[in-house]
Amino acid sequence: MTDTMPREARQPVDAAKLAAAYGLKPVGRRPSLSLYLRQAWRRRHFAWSLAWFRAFSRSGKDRLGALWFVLTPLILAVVYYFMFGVVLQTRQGIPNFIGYLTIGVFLFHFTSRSLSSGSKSMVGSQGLIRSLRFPRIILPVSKVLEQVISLVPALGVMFVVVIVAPPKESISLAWLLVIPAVLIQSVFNVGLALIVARIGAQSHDALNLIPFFGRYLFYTSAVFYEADKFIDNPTALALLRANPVYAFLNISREAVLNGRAAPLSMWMQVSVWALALLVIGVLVFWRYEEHYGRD
Amino acid sequence: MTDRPLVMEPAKPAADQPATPVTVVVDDLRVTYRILVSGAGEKKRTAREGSVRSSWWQRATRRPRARTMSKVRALRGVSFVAHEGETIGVIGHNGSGKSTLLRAIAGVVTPTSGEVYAEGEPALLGINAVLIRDLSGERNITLGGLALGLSPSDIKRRRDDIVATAGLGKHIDLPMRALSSGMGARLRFSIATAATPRVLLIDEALATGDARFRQRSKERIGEIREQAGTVFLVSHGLGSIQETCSRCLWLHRGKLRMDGPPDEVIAAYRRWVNSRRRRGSKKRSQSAAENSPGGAADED
Repeated sequence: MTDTMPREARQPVDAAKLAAAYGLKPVGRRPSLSLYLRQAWRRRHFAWSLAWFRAFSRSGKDRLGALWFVLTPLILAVVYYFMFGVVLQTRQGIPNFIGYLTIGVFLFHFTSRSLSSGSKSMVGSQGLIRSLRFPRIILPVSKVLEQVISLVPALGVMFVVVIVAPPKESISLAWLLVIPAVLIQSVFNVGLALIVARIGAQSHDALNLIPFFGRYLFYTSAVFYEADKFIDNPTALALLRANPVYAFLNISREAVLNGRAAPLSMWMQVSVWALALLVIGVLVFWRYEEHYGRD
Repeated sequence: MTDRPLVMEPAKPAADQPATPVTVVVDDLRVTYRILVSGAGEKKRTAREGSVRSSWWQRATRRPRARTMSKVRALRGVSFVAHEGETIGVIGHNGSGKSTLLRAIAGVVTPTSGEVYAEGEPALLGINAVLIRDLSGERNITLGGLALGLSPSDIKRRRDDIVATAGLGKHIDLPMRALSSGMGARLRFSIATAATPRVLLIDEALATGDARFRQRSKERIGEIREQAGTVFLVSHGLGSIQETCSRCLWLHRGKLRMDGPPDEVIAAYRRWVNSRRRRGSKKRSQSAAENSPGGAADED
């Protein structure tokens, strides 16, 4: 190291003090939670634009474009109708099976898509993460927003199916209850997406397990069967009741098919779930902030 | 990091010279990458087990043992202070830690130990920094600007300026994947400099792009410097560093080997490269050993 020569005469200075003297901040460190949330809020337009652009760029490559927002759950509903409704006869005991199934599939799809795209949100955005510094929480949140965007036309189709398919339901004011129900479900989905986003970023192996969790949610949400079937099976009933997604489906079904509000206790249950998951999700995600995109 | 006198700062400037404010402080920065290496030790095991045939079961279960965590020390204690108005070139051979240094200053890589302090949000411009390939240049400008913290009205106002810097013309509506790599680099450059960051980090970006773009980006760097910012430039093109920079850092195996005026540092670097080449032609095997793993981590 003979050619290491100081440019000028130098004197040691304490780095932290020097930085503080010029108002410099540590780079790449996790900010306090309140600062983090404020930074994220300032980027809210970023989250929206990202969701909006992605929603339409993905469909931009298919000929049918945005129609897939509606076609995917619709085709799923048709497949389930034949498999479960006709072949396995799970429609027994359900007066309006088509309506019951359609609401179930469309709203379950909303949560399951949030779950799977949320889990891959960090792994799939390496380009953005490595080139730009911004609160990473934007990424999973915008994934859920993307699902919200595609849910809006899907809900329209869902109502059309309920009106058109026999036995035709008549439009009622109670249908408006679907709006707060979907909003609470969106909050729930954000919390869920944040938790699985961190899990997926931290361990690739865990990422492979998340679809199984999605399957579990599917089977315990009574998407294609009547929950009362298990009235004398306490274990099955307990699993159903413990699943908040089942409650979300129930609330919307009560509103659309029976024209009435679900019991208050059920609304309370989903609200508590959504808030708890959101708080846990934000904390869990924020604590790992320094490590996303690092490998 | 509290009272460790590790950072060296130039002594008080002469009385007639005002002290230039500090924009970046890098304090004993160390970055270690942990990489899962599969197949490590494969040779050793084959040697040990010889030609003995192993069953399918042995082969299936053996795999995980061959995957080991390997540590790569990309930066091994780098300290320096950067000031307003400086353009700092960073040189060194492949794997010396240049890109890691820039990414750490940008906050995209978290230090294993040590700390980086900087003014504002340093903007990193890497050659691999792809925004969203399926979106048009136009939309990438919007997204990039929003991500950098600009407001939608800011972006609207600066849009024309950004598009002009990128010089894409009517190609601005094509998806990024349809653009040539030079065009992509131009767009990224104009997005990254849209927010007029106080600290701009450029990783080899000037090497891509045609002469006209090089001229334009040089002007943009000049503007940022005039607004009393600091620009870091990583490049293998020693000429462009000599031309643009006011200071030069030489990184060698994750350590700062020299820090000074570009002419001196580049001359010393050239001497070192030449001496190595001469030695290398005589004892090729030795220099090959010197080049292998060690601190080599070319993350790009």
